[in-house]
Amino acid sequence: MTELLTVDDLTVEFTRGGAAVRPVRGVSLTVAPGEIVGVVGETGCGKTLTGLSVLGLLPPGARASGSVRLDGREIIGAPPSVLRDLRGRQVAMVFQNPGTAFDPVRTIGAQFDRVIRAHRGGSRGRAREHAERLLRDVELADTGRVLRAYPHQLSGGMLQRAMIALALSCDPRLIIADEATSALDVTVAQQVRRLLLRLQSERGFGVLFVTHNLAEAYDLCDRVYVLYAGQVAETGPTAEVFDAPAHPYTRALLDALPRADRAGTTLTALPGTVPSSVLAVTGCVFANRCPRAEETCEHSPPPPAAVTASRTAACHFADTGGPA
Amino acid sequence: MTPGAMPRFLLRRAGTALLVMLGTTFVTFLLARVVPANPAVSYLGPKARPDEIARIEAQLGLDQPLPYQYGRYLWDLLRGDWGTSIGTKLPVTDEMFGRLPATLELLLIAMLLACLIGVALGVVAAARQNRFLDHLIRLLAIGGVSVPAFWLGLLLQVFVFGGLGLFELTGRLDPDLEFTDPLREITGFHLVDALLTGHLTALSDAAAHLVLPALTLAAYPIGVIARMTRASMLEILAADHIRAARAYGLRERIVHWRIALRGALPPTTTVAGLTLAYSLTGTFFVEVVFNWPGLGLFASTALLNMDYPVIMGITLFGAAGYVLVNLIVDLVQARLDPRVRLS
Repeated sequence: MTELLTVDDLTVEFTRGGAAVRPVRGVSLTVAPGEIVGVVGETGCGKTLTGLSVLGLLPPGARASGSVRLDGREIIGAPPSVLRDLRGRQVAMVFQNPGTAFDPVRTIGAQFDRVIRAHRGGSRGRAREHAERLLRDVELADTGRVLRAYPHQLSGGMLQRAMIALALSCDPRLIIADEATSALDVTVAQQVRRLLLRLQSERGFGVLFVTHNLAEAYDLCDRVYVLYAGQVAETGPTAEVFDAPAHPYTRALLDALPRADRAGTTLTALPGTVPSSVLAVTGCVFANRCPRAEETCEHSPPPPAAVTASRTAACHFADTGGPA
Repeated sequence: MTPGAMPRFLLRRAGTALLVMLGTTFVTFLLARVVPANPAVSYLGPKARPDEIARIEAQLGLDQPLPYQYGRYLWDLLRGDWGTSIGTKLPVTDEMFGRLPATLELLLIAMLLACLIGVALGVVAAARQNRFLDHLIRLLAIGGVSVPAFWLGLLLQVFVFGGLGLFELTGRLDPDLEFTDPLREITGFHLVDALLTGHLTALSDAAAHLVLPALTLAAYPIGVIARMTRASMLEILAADHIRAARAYGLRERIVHWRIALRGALPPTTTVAGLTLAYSLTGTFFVEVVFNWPGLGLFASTALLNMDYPVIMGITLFGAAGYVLVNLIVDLVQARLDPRVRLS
């Protein structure tokens, strides 16, 4: 197995008000070393929980089943000491909101010091030198000032750079970026994306890039997984999936984007909503909103089927060819 | 961080404190003049003749217009003349400063107990949220807040001293000690004086006298601090940066005690300060129940005797204490929370 991360049939379950809720249902995905893999989908499709599962960091009350293997080591059911060892060193996370992901009452420097020395030991001085190197690497110029600052004294862009530096502090092989640019201004977000790409090509870590922003996924990712209602709707190389979507949901998502070459036309919105209880749906979960749904879709859930050698789509009527 | 930030912050808070104090003098002055009892009569006793009353009124300045009286009152306060106790005929300031150490010692020990016990209970309750221990601690906390101090004091006297024979019932020191081996007063704090003079008998005796009144006084702050610590711990444990700390592989011990508790300290300090100030009033009851020779006992007597210079003095003193504690809390808060310090 050459994969860095293998998620196999991952299901996450909660109990809410006596009823079982399954925000993630049988998701399988892989990330190869040095690969940037996107997980896209709308809010509530289970993409963040999928990311957190890789760190073994699900919220209290959530139960995960299936398998999540990082470099061959199973994460689901692993004891805390093993998880602690993996977190930071093998896999690190860049969070959506840099303003709240740092401890508000400690300086950035103190937080770098804590993480670096928790994993690498050594003196405060060594940790500080390492932190300064990391900050320069994420293009933060005045490293001394950043390290002395409290989180509320820095801008969102600077904090997110610092967060990326912190994530890289112990040379992890996989970075999980959970909506890492969503809270930033568009120009700053673009700078952070460029930074992430540069660091990735220099250091060669794999990235699981969770986003609802299709343009961003198109820009960054080698491959994408499109999630809908906790399941993988479609997967494949980014360019292929976006240029010729095989699943009606992917197509609907792309149609909903504003495009320069369609200026003046009304944007297409996907009618309907995600079923409130997806567990009650016996057929395809997308059937109630799907323009191509037929009778079979109501009764039998479509298994992921190969569209081409590198692509799958979970649809009875997957588009297997033709221009978009 | 700009270098001038801290002094400016200090100045602003001190300015507010001064304004509050000025407002308090106005209230104490008005209260003493509004109370339907003629100070001159209470000074002279019930059988005073009208001409005597008029003479004393003139002597105390009570025949002057109120604004003039207020101005004189303020001026006297500033000069350190807080009036003369009607009961003891001694200067109010002497009476108060003589009793202050006893009250402060009781109050500080009670707050120390309250902070240690309250924070510990709060942390444990948060770690065991919605389990048996959490429910028990919350019940205790509610009890501590709702039980009146005079009743709790009596209970402790009956059951702990009377039933178990532990600690001491009333007073600050065994009266016999005065004759056999007197404690030399240096600071007025018996524990400190006993330590300074190496008087171990007095040390243990003073401690034994302190336990029950201090516990009684601490009950309310323990309840408040435990509940506040629990609530802020729970809030912080659910915060993003706690999840981030875990995501970077930090140990649960560090996450709980270094990060979460550290974050819970600023709000806990605030309520601890507020309850400390509130407990100044609590000493009135506790000192009466335990016959503790402090400001509270003195004030209770003064209240019953309509000894208005003492009442005004104590009120002002209490307000000053309240303001001072809040000032200290603000400063501690600024040390603990950079967002307060720098905004």
